[in-house]
Amino acid sequence: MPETTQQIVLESGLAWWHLAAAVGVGVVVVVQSYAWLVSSLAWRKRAALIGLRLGWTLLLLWCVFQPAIERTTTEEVRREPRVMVAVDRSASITLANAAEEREGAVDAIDAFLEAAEIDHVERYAIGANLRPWAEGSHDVESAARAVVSVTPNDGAEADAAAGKGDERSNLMRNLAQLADRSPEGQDDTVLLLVSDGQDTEETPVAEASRPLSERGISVFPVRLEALSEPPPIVRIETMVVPESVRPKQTAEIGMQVRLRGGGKRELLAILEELPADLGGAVELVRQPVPVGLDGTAQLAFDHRFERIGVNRLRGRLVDAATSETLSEAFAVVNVAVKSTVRVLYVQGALGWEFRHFRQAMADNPAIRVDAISRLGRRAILTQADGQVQGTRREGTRLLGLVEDSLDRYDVIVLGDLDPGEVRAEDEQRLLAMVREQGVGVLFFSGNHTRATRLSGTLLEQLLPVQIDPKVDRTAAIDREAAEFVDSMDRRFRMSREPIFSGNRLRRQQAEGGPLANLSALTLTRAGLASPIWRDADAQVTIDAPPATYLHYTRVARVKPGATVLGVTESGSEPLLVIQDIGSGRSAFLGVDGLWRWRMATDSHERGYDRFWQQLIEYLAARTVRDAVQLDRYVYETGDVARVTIRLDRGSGASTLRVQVPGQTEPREVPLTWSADGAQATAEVPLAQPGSVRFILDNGLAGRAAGVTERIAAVRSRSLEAEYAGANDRVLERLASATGGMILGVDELDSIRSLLQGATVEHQVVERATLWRWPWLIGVMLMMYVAELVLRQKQRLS
Amino acid sequence: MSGRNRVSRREFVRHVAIGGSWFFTSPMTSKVFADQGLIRQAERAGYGEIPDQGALASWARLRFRTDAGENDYWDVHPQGDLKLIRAINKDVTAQVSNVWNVADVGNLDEMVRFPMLFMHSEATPGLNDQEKLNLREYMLRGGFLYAEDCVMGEFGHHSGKGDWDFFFRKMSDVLREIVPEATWERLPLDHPIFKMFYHLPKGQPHMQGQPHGAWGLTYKGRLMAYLSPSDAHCGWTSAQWFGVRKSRDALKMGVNIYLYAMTH
Repeated sequence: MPETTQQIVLESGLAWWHLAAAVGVGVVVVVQSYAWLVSSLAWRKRAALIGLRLGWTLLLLWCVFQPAIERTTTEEVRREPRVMVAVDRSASITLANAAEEREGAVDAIDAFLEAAEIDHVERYAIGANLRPWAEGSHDVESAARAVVSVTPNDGAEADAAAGKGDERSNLMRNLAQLADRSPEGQDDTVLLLVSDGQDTEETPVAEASRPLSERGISVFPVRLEALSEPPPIVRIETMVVPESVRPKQTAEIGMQVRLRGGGKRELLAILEELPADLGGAVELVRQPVPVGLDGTAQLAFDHRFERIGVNRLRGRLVDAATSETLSEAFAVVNVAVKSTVRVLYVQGALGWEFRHFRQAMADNPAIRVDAISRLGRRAILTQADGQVQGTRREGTRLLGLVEDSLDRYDVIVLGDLDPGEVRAEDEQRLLAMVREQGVGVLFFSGNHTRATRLSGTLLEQLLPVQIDPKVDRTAAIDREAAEFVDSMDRRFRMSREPIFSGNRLRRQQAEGGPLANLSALTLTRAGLASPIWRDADAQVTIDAPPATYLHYTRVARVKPGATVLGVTESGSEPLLVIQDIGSGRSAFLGVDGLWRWRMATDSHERGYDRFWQQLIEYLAARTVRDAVQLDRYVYETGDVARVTIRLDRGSGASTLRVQVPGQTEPREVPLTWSADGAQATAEVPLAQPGSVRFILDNGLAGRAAGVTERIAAVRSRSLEAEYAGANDRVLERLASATGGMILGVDELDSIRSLLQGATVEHQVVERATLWRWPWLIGVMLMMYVAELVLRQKQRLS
Repeated sequence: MSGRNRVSRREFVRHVAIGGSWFFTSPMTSKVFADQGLIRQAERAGYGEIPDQGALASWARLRFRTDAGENDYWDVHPQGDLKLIRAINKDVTAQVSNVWNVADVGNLDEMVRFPMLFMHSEATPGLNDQEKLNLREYMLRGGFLYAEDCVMGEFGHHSGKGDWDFFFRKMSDVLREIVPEATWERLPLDHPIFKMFYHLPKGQPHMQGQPHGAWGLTYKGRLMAYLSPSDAHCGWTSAQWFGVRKSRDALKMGVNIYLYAMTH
């Protein structure tokens, strides 16, 4: 039954008591004025004058306050639930011979939804990526083209586009994409999922289920009975090596191993060094793999690199009893003599980070730091020896202080910098330095960082993350935040950003406040394994920093190919991201205030110092200027490796030689060059399992000459077979995390009540204005004129 | 008492009003009230726990014990600190919070929240072993100590012969003692700290006391402590005491020291 309420509102926005007070004052004034000013008049004339003045005054107030009647009707309406059906089309189901049962489950769902009178159903096919799926249409190729990839996925899209079928089981990524497509505010969505629960990327379920829960999507996996226990897996997933080390340096080689099932077989992990022809490997070190391991594990080998140049490494997993090689992986480490790293630290606003950064570098004689600091209208250059030179010129370009010597720096740190401080020509120059000369750049934010101003600038191209206001879901709040910020600026005479939940830059509290309000940078698995976080000398991982930061810059998305090393405490937003950009490297640090890390730890602990030193060394590492980039880390037999080579200096004389399994000598492959001669591509078909070696000779002479190598593994085309079989544990966790449950095909009726929809209150507000009438103005004017005439007739002023 | 000499009620009220206005608006009175207000604010909030106003950097006074007994005089004229903060904020992009923070030398956790600490007194500091260790650890972690002698002693600490540099002499000994591996030296006039932002060719501006010049504790090429005998802080507090020019120079030196600490 609809409920209706009525009230009078003032459209002028004023309160009722304003009107009452104004009317009261008006009446008193009018009565008073005619009570003693015209007391000689007859009472009738006085009453007429009072009446006329009172009349037009009230009408004037009526028009000023603009009253209206507002009628609000509240009624309950039924909102249909949102129902989605996602069907797993990945190869793992086909390989387990469950495709037929899957189609049967889809038919059963269709029948159930029809019986439940659900008119609108969204259907998706999931595989490498999410794609809309019209009933009866299995056109994978055309659907794949319509899907936008979120991150690279080892060529699965290429496979799909090439018509080879959608083989990958990227279930969690699909679910995240599905959540992205769901509107906010709807909290009763039912997702019927027909899947085996396999995920090639092995994204944690908790990570995937969070966006689903946030969007109110309950997942109901439909069990496929035909799927059996998956076959055992024994595999080296990746080898993690430092890209560049110094001679005689001991570095850690990480080996990520995946084991599932297969009983309690004793396994050994062996690290070997390979000669140039990849034959006759020399064993370096071996260690047993924990018995009974189920899942993934990171094994670590310490190796002292003696030989300058390319070091080729192979990791092998062997059966301890039979010495049979079960899996292998390859990596290349370049050992180079290290020279002094010159760092230019540009700070757009003074903060305490630079003091500690500089002190952190002081222990490393191989790093020299010059700094440009903005001090009001003045900019100063502090040289590595502490000497200061500056300029007082108005509008000085920060980078103008090193106009002629900018090229000599290996790393540029842009700290707490307003992007407006860097002019377009300097941006262009920085971009060229990073891309073509291999300079490293670090951008870390602070109070002066206008992150949103980065959008669309050349500077943004240098970052491993993208700042895009359109991606922000809270655009309306952003506008409010901007106004809020402006008012804060005026109040506190602060020229820059700040505080607002919902704005990209959040401040929780300023320096000096209670430390309990600070947050800590949290490391990802990639962060822990990265050369930035592993102490190269002490061979231990640096302890994670304590709570240090007060605010951080939110990023819209991480660019494809970038690696997230650190995130917020909630794990939801990236804070430390790195990426190779052309010949150089880039890092983004979304927080400042790390100096608290140094102040909060004992003086003999050097975690802060090591972190900054190793980050700078990482960014400065440009020993491999020419790059051989592969579209995948691991290939399968029958694949075509797509190779992209990028040259520090373009050279038509460059050659790419490839040594594929079954060949003893590398052979040259034809290259297709880009117009500027800096980049070329090649395609190499891979027929046999083993290792394939790519050797790029840049064709230059003298000091510029260089040979770059990459090695990749080729596996038998059976990757998906390893995943075949139901992973009920994943499906159960997914269901429980989102408020759903696992259903059998014949149990669909148990969720019929959920599809009844929700009853929501719907309000209709109607407003009738009581003042916007022309005759009201007419009457008011007439009363005013009448009063005027009467007063003139009586000779009153 | 004749009627001519009597003060009328109107005149009496007028005189009281004028006198009261002068009292409440005079610089000295307002300074006293303002100082007391800041100290009370710091005490209410708990030392080292005062929330900031949203600035990038902060200022903090080091609280310590002196041989002056019950009243330690570590908190002399907080208004002077605020005037220096205003001077820093006026010309440079360092946005220093206009809050008078306090950290106790006996509590290292409080100290390390502030990358720079200001130590100031008229009396001789009396640091115990733990407090000396705290000061050493603070500086080794990267903190910067700025110590300034307040010089003028009216509490029986000076001999009356003009040797009013008890704070300076004591702190010289303490700093040398707690970081013996560091270099303790008088800073030359061409040191970058004297031309960091303002050019001060004569070095540390001298307000009063013994003109020992500015001394610094340098460790691994880094200035970790700056000690001055010249009472620049009183120059910040009021231009009436030493003249406008000296007061301005004192503020310039304060700005230079703060910026130097931030950039070196």
